[in-house]
Amino acid sequence: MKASRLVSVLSFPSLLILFTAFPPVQELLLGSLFPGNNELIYPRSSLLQLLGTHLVLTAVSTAAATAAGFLLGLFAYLEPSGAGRRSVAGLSGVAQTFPPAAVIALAVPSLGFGAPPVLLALFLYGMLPVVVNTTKGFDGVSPRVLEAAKGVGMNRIRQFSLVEFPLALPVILAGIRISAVINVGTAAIGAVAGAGGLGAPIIAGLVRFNPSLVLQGALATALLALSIDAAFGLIADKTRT
Amino acid sequence: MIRFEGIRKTYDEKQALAGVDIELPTGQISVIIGPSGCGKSTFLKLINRMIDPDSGQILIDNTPVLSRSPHELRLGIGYVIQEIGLFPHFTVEENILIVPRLLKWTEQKKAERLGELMKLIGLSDGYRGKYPHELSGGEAQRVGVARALAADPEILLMDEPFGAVDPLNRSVLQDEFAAIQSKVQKTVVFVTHDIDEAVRLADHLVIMRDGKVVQAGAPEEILQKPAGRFVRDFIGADRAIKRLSLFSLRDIMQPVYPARVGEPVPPEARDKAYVWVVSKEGYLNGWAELTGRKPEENLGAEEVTRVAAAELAVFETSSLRTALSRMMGQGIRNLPVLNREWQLVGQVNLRDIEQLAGSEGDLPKTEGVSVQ
Repeated sequence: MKASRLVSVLSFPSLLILFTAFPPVQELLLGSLFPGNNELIYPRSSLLQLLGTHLVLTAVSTAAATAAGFLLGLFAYLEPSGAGRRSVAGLSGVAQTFPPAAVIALAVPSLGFGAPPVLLALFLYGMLPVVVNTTKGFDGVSPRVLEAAKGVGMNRIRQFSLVEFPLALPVILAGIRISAVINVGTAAIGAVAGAGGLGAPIIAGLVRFNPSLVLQGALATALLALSIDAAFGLIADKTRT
Repeated sequence: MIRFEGIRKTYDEKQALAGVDIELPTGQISVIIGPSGCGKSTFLKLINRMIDPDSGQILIDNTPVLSRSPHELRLGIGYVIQEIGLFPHFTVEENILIVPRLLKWTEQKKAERLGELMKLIGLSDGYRGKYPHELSGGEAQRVGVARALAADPEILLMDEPFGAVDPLNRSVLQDEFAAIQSKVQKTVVFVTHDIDEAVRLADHLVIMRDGKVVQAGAPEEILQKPAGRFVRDFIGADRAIKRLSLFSLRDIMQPVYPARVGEPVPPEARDKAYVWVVSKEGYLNGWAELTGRKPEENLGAEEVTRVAAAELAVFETSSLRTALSRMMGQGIRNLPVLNREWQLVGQVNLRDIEQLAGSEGDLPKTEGVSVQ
């Protein structure tokens, strides 16, 4: 890999760690932007702890969305009549139409406060890109290549494992990448249901009219999203032929 | 031998094959040709069970293909398809060795076979690690042929394999394939819509129309005696010229008695207006006028009009069609003919070609395949 590529891949994670792990860095930066503000950083927990919670929320929801989205997309692709495809596309489209805040609000009465309603919202929200890209990835495999796979004597399982899946994988990974990045941003809303995460300083800042807290959470969220995007970019480089 | 018995196949009320009975001979190239929609592609795909017939049966060496499982059957039949269909995520090596891999060959056996195949298709070892998108159309097609031949199948199915290649490269690939076939001697079923390609490659030509075989047999026989108006129109008004590609110059070339500088002109050549001049080793140097000189005198170097053999001469293995176009291009009626060592071995005259092209009855008869 080229050195320039490595630098660009590593720059966002380095900045993220530099900013979240060292409160003096936060104070220095925010203090220079908001002089005279006597509450520059979120007092209730450290940014690093919030980052950890945020990561868990994102990882769990994205993993579930990936598993369910892949299976739904695969079902839509394999189901011969096309009815499965239409209903899957419709269903996941509806799931993304709900604003995540609304899903959280609606889920709180049954699931209570904290992580569960947030995970549900992120799961529903993150599924669509995976479903869409899974069907798109499989549909994109050239009919000639499929004919060749069949023609050289591969059985159905081998056609799938040796040809269809490896060729669809880069597109599916792109869907998971979109899902993960969307979920990092959306998870910030989770703080309204008390799930914690990097949304907590943002909500607190908005309530107390304290722009320094809002920026503290927002900056960390943005750097996390960029870092995850960079990590997926690295995987994409590896799978591309 | 591949035998079709009463094969019918219908798609959505459209009849693709309307009762086909035919035998395709072992170790030869059978070319299936016809206008689009004539059922030729269906014909091919029935052999390796990419499609199954509605009725009738296909026998390979007297075993019905329907008695074998599709993928096990296909592992024993090479398959080259339109636009190649190489696996884009596999290297050249992985593509070629896919069938040996499915058959679980040992690494050593696979490596040996890869070496043989790369040599057969004329690609250097540097190509082994390349991906299909790094290959030219012609190279990719060669790899496609190597992949089909990898496990040394008895039968090779080729579905318009050179269709996506430009005409110039197509004729190169056709020649290469003919050369490969002369080494491997497979039973080849080749589908095309290009009549020139068909005539060039076929040992047996099968002409189809509306799901039926209208004529089958040796190409020279079909060109000479087309069965009915459809075949006549299909093979084209220039069928006389097409027939020329069936014959090599070796069949009709005349002997020559070349002269050498510093020697008298040979007696056999003295009644002509000119004589070909060769070097001591037999390479073509040029020609000399014979009118108005004394034949028994030694030939002087200043009498020789030098020519470039590469521009004027044709090889004895070239087709009459090549010779005819060379004559037209150079504006001459006599061409010197060389052997593979570039030595002068004969000459060919326009009149000889004209006679052969116009003749209807003096061609060697070849036994046709049976058509019921």
